Amino acid sequence: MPELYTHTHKSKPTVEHPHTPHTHDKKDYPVNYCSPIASYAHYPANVRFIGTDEKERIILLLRRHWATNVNWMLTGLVLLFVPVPFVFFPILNFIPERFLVVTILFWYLVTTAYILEKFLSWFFNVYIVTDERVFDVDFYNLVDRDITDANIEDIQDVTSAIRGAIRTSLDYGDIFIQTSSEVPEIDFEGVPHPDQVAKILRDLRVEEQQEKIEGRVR
Amino acid sequence: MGPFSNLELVTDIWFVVKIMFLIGMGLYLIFAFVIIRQTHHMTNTLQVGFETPIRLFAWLHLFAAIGLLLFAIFVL
Repeated sequence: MPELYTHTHKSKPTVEHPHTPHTHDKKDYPVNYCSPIASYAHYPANVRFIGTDEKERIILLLRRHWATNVNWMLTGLVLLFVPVPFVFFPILNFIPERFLVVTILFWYLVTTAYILEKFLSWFFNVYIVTDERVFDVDFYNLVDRDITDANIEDIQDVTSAIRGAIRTSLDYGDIFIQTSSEVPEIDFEGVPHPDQVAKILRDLRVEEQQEKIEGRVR
Repeated sequence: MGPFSNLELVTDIWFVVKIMFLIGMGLYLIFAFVIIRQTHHMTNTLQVGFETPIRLFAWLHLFAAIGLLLFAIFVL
């Protein structure tokens, strides 16, 4: 998998301070400077999300695995080559040249918009895990946005699933988070390293329970 | 000018096609504006340090749509 698309904590992170799990001070967490188009970013630096509080720290930023983009990328590539036969072969000789030129330019404009829309959809449909909550950010179309969140302490069960040969070989899959909040389930679909993500969520739950016992809940 | 001149103009298939092209491109221009609003909305929701290229690309797309509409008005 290209390094550009994934940033796990296997790569060398820039650790500003050692990780001390029982505090919520921002300075106590490591910081990773990772690619902005990474589909797995652990302790990402310079990420700001509208839903988080000032003291809340983003632990994971997840997108669908890059392999889930192959379909629209191939479609985009095919669309780019659709006008080629009309240029080289005299199929549409009856159409005046000026109409043909405008049609081809318009076709490329529409193809650009298709690629841009698909990229934006992948880039901004993210899953965020903070030290307090999990977020599922969905942009359904051009104007509709849904942000679903659940507190870490409300998580009841975390299940990870990798199904199929391609998903197994590329290590990506789904995570189902059962919660006791208003939203009964939050699903992370097609995210890289699902087992690792599930483990991080379990660790956060334990940490949150520990904080509750010690009376350090914000 | 004979009474059939206007009729000839209306029945000119390419004139009709031109009007359809211009209407289509006008609608596309609205779509390009919506993309600008959408990228603004999205980049306000999540900031990861890649906002400038995304916004720039959306603006370039809008300018290309305007350019093509003007080109079509003058060329067709």
